[in-house]
Amino acid sequence: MKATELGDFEELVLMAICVIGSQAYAVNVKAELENRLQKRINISAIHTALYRLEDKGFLKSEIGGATKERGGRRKRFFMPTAAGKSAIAKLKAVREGMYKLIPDISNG
Amino acid sequence: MDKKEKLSPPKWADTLLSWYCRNDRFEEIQGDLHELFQERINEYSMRKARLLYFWDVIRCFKSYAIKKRIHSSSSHIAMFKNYFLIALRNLLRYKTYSVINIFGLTLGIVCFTYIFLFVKHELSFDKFHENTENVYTVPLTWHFGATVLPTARATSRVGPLLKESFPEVTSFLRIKNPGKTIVKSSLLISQEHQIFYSDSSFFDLFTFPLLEGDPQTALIEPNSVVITSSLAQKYFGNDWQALSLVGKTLNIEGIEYEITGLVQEPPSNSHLQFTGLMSFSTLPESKGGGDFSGSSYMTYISTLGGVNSLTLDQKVDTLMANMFEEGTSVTLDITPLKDIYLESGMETGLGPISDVKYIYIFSLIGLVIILIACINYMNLSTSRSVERAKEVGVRKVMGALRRQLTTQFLSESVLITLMALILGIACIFLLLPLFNQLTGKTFAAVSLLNSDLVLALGLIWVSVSLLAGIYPALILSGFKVNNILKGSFKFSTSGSWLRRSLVIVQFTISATLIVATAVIHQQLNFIQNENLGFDQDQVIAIPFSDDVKKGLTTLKNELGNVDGVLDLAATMQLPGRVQFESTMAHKEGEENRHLMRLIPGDVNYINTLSLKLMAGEDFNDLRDKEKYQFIINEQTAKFFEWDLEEALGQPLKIWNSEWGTIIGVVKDFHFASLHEEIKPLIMFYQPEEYFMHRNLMVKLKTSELAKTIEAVEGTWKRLYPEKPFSYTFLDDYFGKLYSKEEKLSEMFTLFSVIAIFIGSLGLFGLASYTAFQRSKEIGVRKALGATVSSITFLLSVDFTKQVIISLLFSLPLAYFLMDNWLQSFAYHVEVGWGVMFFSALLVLFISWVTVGYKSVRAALTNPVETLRNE
Repeated sequence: MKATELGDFEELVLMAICVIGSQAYAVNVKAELENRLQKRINISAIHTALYRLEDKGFLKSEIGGATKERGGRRKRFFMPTAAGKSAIAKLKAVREGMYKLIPDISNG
Repeated sequence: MDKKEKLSPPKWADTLLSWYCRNDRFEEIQGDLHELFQERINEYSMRKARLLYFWDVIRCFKSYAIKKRIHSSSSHIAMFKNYFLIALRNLLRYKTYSVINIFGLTLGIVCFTYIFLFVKHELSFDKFHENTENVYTVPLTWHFGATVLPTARATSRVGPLLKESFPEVTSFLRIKNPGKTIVKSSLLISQEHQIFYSDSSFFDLFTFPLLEGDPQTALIEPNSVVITSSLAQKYFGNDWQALSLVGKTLNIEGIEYEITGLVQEPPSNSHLQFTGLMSFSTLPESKGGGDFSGSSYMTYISTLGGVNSLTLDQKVDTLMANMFEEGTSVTLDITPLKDIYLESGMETGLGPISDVKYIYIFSLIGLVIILIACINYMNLSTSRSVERAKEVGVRKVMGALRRQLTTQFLSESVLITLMALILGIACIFLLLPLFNQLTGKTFAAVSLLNSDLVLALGLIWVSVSLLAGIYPALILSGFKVNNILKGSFKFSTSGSWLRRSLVIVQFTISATLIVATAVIHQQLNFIQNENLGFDQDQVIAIPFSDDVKKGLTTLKNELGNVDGVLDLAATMQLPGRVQFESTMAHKEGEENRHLMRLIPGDVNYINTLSLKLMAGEDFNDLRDKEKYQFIINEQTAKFFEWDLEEALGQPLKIWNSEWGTIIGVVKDFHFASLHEEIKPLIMFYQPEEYFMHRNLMVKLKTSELAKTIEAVEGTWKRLYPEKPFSYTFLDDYFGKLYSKEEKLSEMFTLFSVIAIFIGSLGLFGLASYTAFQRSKEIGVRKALGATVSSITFLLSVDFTKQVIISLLFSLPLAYFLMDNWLQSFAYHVEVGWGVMFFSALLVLFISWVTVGYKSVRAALTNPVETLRNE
């Protein structure tokens, strides 16, 4: 399996988790991304990305404590692993390197 | 609904989630969804929030959330391998059962597929036209006072009138079938039956692609003709394509027609079957807007899209009211093009017509036959449950779940059905010519390979596997482990009542089909042997065309001198096809006019047909020719309340204008099909040159038929070397009236044989199993002195009971169905005790032979064989 491949949407989810910090779980990741992208995202898409990122080793997770707002059901909190962080950094470097080579993007 | 429940997501959506969601992620996923739901309550209505929750549950049905039911995929495949291996071993070990199951299912699948093909083809009629939805036909119905006379066609005025009156009618089309036409090219002179006159709008309304020529203009000019490729080949030879026929001429009925187009053969699912189309403008009646005399024009209209045919129908009725003198009116029934073939029952005279009833009957039979085959499988697998019980026990001990065992036994039925399906597909292709012959269709093997058939076969595979397999799978997987392994498990009685009922269902179906077949045969036999009241065996009819008629006197004289010719007379319709009331008649001093059937007849008409004169005499040419001579049948005399003698000399008026005298009364004879009772009939004298005469009836000496016909043909050839000679015997002609019933009878014979055969296969399997199960008991009985016959009886009596019960169901059912069918004949046999008794005996006999064979073999076995291995 190509565990190191990072999909477009997965990358966004991964970054959203880094942005949110320690309390990131599916619902606030969804809110964060909807806010930034200005479009609706179904929760199942977030779930798919989260579980897949965890399988690939970019994320780790733990079960939080019982909460009030969701009928006592516990949340699964996600946080980036070292591999996750370096993957983002690597992608950023590639993008920026290429971006600089484009003659004038604003005229494009 | 209390408030708390109102504020929570729908319960059933949660149930759905908990059903599919894996346990370790259920809590967090459900939590996420609930949280979203709570957010949405503030934003949207409750209803919408609940709906969105359900939508989320559906969307979460993805791989990350779904339970992994079987834990690892490699052991999953290994299990299935094992299932199929065990299934194959079982198939090979119990060869009889396997053969019975596979063979029965194969037969069922073949029948079902053929019926599927047949029904699909019937349902596809006239749907290939681009404009199908907006084309209608307008059959005209005459109303004379209280008498209603429906026809399939309309008068030549109807089409133009509808187009002039209603803007939504965009065009009209009239087609007239001139009957037989003589076609002549430089190569060949022959007769054609399917060349019609047609308006130029033909190719607007219908989609029949032209190979050459312009569809818009091909049929505009008088004396133009469009021919099909088969007609072109017939009259211009095999290299017709190289001849560029458009612009050449073809002689039809003595007139030169210019070929303006070549058209593809009409597909077999068209109610219009033509080989050529002549321009309607050739006909004199095309001048002006047509008139209301004679309804011989099949009339079609096309409308704008979205026109409601019911509204149009009402408007048309309003238009047609008051169009005629007092007492006469016409109505038009706007009938959609796609309904003509199956729903209308109209005799279009332009091609085949069927009945939607047959679609229902055959679909039902197809389902029933496959059901019988499935029942075999169910019965044979459950009855053999003891053999499989140990296997089930061991599998359960090793940790197999019931679900897995169900899957195992289902996979066996999937395997068996697959084998039957493969065999079945081979048979379907091999037996195709036979099927074509039976249905009168022409399915090509290549055309079978389409997505519909593949889909249907796939559906059969799945549904038969499930139908046949689910019950045995549930039974077998439900055995209790400790019962099986302790050894206390014996023959399962739980399913035996069900097995019995299923056998009863099978035999009820088979017996009903057998009675139906017997009754249809009996009725066909009856109508074919019924004394029709005229001589049908030794009279031939020679059809002739208009130009022959000019010399008909010569022909009659010449034929009269031929050795072996007894009598001859010209007429219009032959007995059998005098189907419609075609005149109004009334007697003197009475105002009421009555609708009656009319036949013109030549001198010697009565003698030629050997009709029995009850009073008076035959037509002759000695009388006053200014006045009409009538011969009536007994029904007419009865209708006008005359005695036979009293009728002679009575004046009678036909067509509202012509007075004449009755010169004879004949005994009633069947001039129409036995579907209807003998109606009043008037025959009137017309000499041979009369314009309506179409057939020359010739009565021959029975002793030298072949020689005489040869001589008649010789005379014809000498007088008309350019005209083809053809003839039919009247009994053949009359017999054609029942071709539908004959097809039905063939189909029923075949299907009932198949049904009883599959049923018997199953019974044979059950009987041999029972004999095997009870072999020890039989051994002990024999050792104690039981006779072979008493043991045979013991083994057969149970099955006999089931067959008798099924007869109790099927006989009344068959009686009801067939009595209903027979009502469509005015003259019919009764569903008698004889047929019932015979059918019951046949079913019993078949079941006895089936069961008896195994029973006798079991009874003959030496008890030592069965008892020594204990």
